[in-house]
Amino acid sequence: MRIRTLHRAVFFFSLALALLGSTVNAPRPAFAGPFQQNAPLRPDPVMTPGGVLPVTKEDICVPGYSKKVRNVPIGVKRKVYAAYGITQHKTGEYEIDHLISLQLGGSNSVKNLWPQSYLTQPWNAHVKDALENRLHSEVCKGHLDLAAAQREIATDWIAAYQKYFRTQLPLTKGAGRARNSRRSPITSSSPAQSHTGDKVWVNLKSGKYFPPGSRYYGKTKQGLYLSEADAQSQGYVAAKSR
Amino acid sequence: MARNQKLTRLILGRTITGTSTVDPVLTVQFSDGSQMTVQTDGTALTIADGGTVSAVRQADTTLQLVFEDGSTLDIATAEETSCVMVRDRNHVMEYSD
Repeated sequence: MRIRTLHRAVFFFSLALALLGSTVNAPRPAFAGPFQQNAPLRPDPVMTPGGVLPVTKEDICVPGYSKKVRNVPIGVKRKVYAAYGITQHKTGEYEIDHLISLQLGGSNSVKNLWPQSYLTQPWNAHVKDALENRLHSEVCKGHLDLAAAQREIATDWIAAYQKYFRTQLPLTKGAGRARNSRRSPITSSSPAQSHTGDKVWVNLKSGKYFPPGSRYYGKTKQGLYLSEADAQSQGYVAAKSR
Repeated sequence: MARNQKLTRLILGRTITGTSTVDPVLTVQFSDGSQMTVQTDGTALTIADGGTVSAVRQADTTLQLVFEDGSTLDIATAEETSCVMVRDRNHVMEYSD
């Protein structure tokens, strides 16, 4: 009985030593950290050049197209994290992003997958989602060639965002979810930029705009300042109750 | 090997009526007019017509069709993902991985 207890004690002591040793010697995750300061904003172009499926505009513009594509297997996700040196992360820190999104005909190939942070500022996975929605909309409306959209988002998604939203910094959350289909790429300032009294406040959620002095001017959660002409040209309408 | 639920639900009950290979793409025709294309690793395959699919399993670079008579067919794919596509008789995409 004593021998068995002794063996057990030796076993657990050895196990503790082994765990301690692995902790001390483990390579530090390249992108881990309390605020993910080293999380990649753009994918590594060598590991993640992008990959597409042999699909057409007609395929991707059918509602529900993305649901027809298989989910990325967990084993593949692990490989992608490992390739980027991310050995541990918390739920909600990253997503395995399709560089060329599924809705733009991107594939599940490891060449098209990279770990994108939800937390980095100002560029993160939420912002890229807005770009993906915008490009998909532009392709399906016939304003943009599918191959061109794929190429632009694969080359530099941040530059593509700046081009199609015509802004240096991301717009407020929800900018990519504008509901009015007549809206083309936004043509003016971000809310972060200074504004003058001659600009209207656009509520991106409702699609309505408010002149200076009105009740909701600058007060809705999702919005931006535009000249009235720009707001109208992008499909926003004047709010009735001011 | 894990069952590919999405693909199993889609092609369950479909019977193979013909196959063709233009390396490295294997095309499988089904009785309802749909067809499945698979990017293979180039290994030659002999597929008999008449098998009715009862399940699809997938692990790493192996795609396994399970038939109603209990037989199986293993297809080596070029990659772990992004190799299988199914289109219906009207060429509308039904599945891609």
